[in-house]
Amino acid sequence: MEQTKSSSLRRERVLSHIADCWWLWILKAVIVLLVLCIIVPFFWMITSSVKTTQEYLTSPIVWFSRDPQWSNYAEVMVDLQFYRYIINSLILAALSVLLSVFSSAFVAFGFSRFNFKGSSVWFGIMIATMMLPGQVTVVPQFLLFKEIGWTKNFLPLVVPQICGAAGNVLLITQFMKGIPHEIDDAAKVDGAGSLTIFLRIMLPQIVPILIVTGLFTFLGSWKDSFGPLIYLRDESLYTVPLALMTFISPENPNRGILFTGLTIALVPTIIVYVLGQKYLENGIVIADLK
Amino acid sequence: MNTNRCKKILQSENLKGYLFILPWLIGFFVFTIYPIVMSFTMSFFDWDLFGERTFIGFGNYVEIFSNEIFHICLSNTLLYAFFSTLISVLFGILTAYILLSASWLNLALRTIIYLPSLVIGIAFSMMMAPIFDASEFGLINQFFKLFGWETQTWLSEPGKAVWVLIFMSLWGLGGPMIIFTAAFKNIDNSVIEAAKIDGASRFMTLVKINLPIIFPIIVYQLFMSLIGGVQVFDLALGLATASGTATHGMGNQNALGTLAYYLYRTGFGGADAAMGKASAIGWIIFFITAVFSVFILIFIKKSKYYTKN
Repeated sequence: MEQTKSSSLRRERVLSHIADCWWLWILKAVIVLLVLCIIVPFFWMITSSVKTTQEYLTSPIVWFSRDPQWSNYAEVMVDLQFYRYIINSLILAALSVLLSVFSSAFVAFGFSRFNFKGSSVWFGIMIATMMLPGQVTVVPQFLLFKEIGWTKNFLPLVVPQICGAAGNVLLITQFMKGIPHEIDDAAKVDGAGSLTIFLRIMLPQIVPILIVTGLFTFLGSWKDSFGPLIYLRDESLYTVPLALMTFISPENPNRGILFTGLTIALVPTIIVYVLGQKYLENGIVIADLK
Repeated sequence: MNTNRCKKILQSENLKGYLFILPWLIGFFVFTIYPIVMSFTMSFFDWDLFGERTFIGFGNYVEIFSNEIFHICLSNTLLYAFFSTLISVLFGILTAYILLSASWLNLALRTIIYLPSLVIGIAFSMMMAPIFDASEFGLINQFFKLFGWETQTWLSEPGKAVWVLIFMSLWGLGGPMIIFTAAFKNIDNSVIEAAKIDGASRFMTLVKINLPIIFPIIVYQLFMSLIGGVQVFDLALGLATASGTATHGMGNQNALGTLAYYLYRTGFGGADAAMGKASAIGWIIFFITAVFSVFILIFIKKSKYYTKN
């Protein structure tokens, strides 16, 4: 008697749990499907990077090459000099990150620590510029850079970064607002100037958000194709995306090398992501909800 | 005396503030205001890179709107912007919510979902192009054959190719997911506990408590996804390049055309370098962004969460 009572109780509990959570299981199934959709192409990309052209276009699918063409990697890196484009991309991304993050923090310091006239108006305007599609300004910008002779170099892609990026300024400003004023006030009493306070006191305290914005800027620069397509017309300046586009050509029938290039191009971003991942999810928390 | 000193300090506060935001101010005028004014003016000129510049009024706009290629690009862009925003916000919330707790499995799944966001857009779509190959060798078509379905030409028909682009936005979930994860983590746990004690089911807690709290972030992400969606460019370019149809148009019969891609070909990628016309396309993109933004704002105004906050 006792036993049946407890078992019916348990059954009830299980039933109510199912009633409460059945939709969670459906959503979990959706996510498993999604993850499969993501893994399969990546798996295909990596295995295809050592396939011969014949193996890569066959039916049924060849998942693992029977005759791995490790020479594809040598062909991409040595014959097609892919390393040169990787270096170009890295130089461009490094300059963008350094300039954009530093000046964004500089501007953010102005917005978060000084109660100057019109500060909220300018801040609002800055947010509004984030909604402006780049396509509206690209043509005159191009003509401007052409006019002053900045063609065939990285300058048009690097110099605007000195002015900071609205998205970065926003994230850093929010972060700075969460940092107590006591320490800067103490330094001010000791006679430290604003610049010193910014460099010596503020910057060390906001390292997490600097890393997050640096990561975003790096990814933005590394992945950008619109800017490089417009400004980097010279083959010696090509970044990775432009170089990859030249891999598909009638002259080179080896389709495997595209996947080799894609696989190699993934490595630097994965390294950067792994280094910054810890900050990625914790840096944004403070920035957005307050 | 005292008020004077106060004034002085205030003045220097003003000065210092402006000195610190000076880099952005300069950039704002040089790289935003000046180009906006210029591109607006240019959109009314027949302005080639070299040669005569003549005022033609709405000539560029008329020419663009009467072009059939533009209609493909416009409908592709609108469809992509709408559905990719829907996908990235819905699935972003979904993945963030389900994979919220910090178990190693969730962490691994989150990393996998973020993985495509590390890939160069153009490279990613070039990698996906063979998967959507029209021949029986394409990965998807091979699966279709496996189930005995008819193979499809995925990329080469206007009106059909855009759905491949939309489908591919599923791979761009990483960014929104991270934002929503951060937002969910930021919710005060005591609120959720209180709801649990009151006997609210998990679904009700999600709908009535979690979502309203993160509503500002949802709005932010709606805007961001939409702005990105209206500017879709490299996915289309990559697919067209990989299928060997980028030299003469934007994919077969311009099936992969988007407005940003059209602008690129009009001003930079093609032979004619029609800068005035390209500027006009830029303004059309801006106009669409503005209209979508107004829709979002109306949606916010109408939603009951807004009044609650």
